[in-house]
Amino acid sequence: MARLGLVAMVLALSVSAQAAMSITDLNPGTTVSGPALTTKDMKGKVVLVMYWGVR
Amino acid sequence: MAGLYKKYESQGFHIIGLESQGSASDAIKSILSGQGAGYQATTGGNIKGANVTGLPHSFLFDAAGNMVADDPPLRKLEAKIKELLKESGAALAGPGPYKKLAPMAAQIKLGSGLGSILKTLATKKTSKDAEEAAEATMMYDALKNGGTEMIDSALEKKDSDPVKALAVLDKVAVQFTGDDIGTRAKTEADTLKKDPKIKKEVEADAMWKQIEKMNEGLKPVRGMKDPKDEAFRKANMPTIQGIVGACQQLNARYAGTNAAAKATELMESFR
Repeated sequence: MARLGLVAMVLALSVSAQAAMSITDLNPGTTVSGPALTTKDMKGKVVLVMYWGVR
Repeated sequence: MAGLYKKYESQGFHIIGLESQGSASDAIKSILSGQGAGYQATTGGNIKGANVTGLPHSFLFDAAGNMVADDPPLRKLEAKIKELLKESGAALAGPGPYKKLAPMAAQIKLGSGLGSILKTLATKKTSKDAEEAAEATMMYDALKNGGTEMIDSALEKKDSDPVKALAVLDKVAVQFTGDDIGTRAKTEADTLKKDPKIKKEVEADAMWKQIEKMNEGLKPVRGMKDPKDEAFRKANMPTIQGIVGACQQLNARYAGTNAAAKATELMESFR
C-alpha cells in the first residue's frame, strides 16, 4: 500500500512538473532543415515540438 | 505532420522536430525531403524538464507559450491545433492569401487594435481597386466572424471553465475596442465578474497559479526533473512541503472551485 502511495506521488510530481513547462524551456538546437526559428520567433505561435529519430 | 504544417503555418502554427538519435544532417534532410516536410528540423535540441518516454513524442504549446498537451494523440491533434489557433487570434485574418492587404493581415496576427482595423477594412471594402476590395471583404468577414466565435466559445465554457471564459472575454474586449464585438465582450465579461461563484473561481485560480510557480521552482537534478530520482525529491523536499501547505490553504478558502479540485489532487498525491 505504502509502495502504491509512493508511486502515485512520483507520477503526480511528474505530471505537475511537466504541466508547468513553457516554450521558453525549449532549446531548439541547430537547425538543419526548414525555417530557423528561435524561441523568441515562436512567441504568439501555436507550436508542436516533436522528438523524433531518423532510425 | 507535413500536411498539418502546410495547412496551418500561415495561420500561426509552427512545428519543430528535434532529431534525438544523433543522426547526420544529410540523413535528416533526406528523410524530410522525401516526406515533403517543410517544417523546422534540428539536432541537439531539447526541452528542459521534458519526460520523453520514446520516439516519436510530441508536446503542444499554445500561443502564450504554455504546454497544453503531452504527446497528444494524432487523431485529436488537428482539432486541438484549430482550437488553439482560434483562441490565439492568429487565425483571425482568415486563410488569404493576401497581396494588397498583406501588412494588415500581419497586423491582425499580432492580435491588437482589431477594432481600428475593422474600421479601416470597412472603408477598403468599397475601394475602386477591385483586388483590394475583394481582399478587404474577405478579411473583414473573417475578423468579424472570428471575434464573434471567440465570444460565443467563451460563453459556452462559462460554467465548466469560468476563469478561461473570463480571460478570453477580457482579451477580446481589449482587442476589439471601438467595434461592436469589443463592446459585447466587455458587457459579457462585466456580467460574469458580478457572479459571486465566478469571483470565487477567479480568486482561487490566482492562488493556484502561485502553486504552479512553486512547481516550476522545483530544481532539476543532473539536468532532469525526474521525480523517480530520489536525489531530485530530496533536493526539492522543502518546496514540495510548501506546495502541500499552499494546497491546504487554497482548499480551505475556496472549497468547491476548479482550482481547489486541482490542489486537492496534487496535495493527496504528495502524501
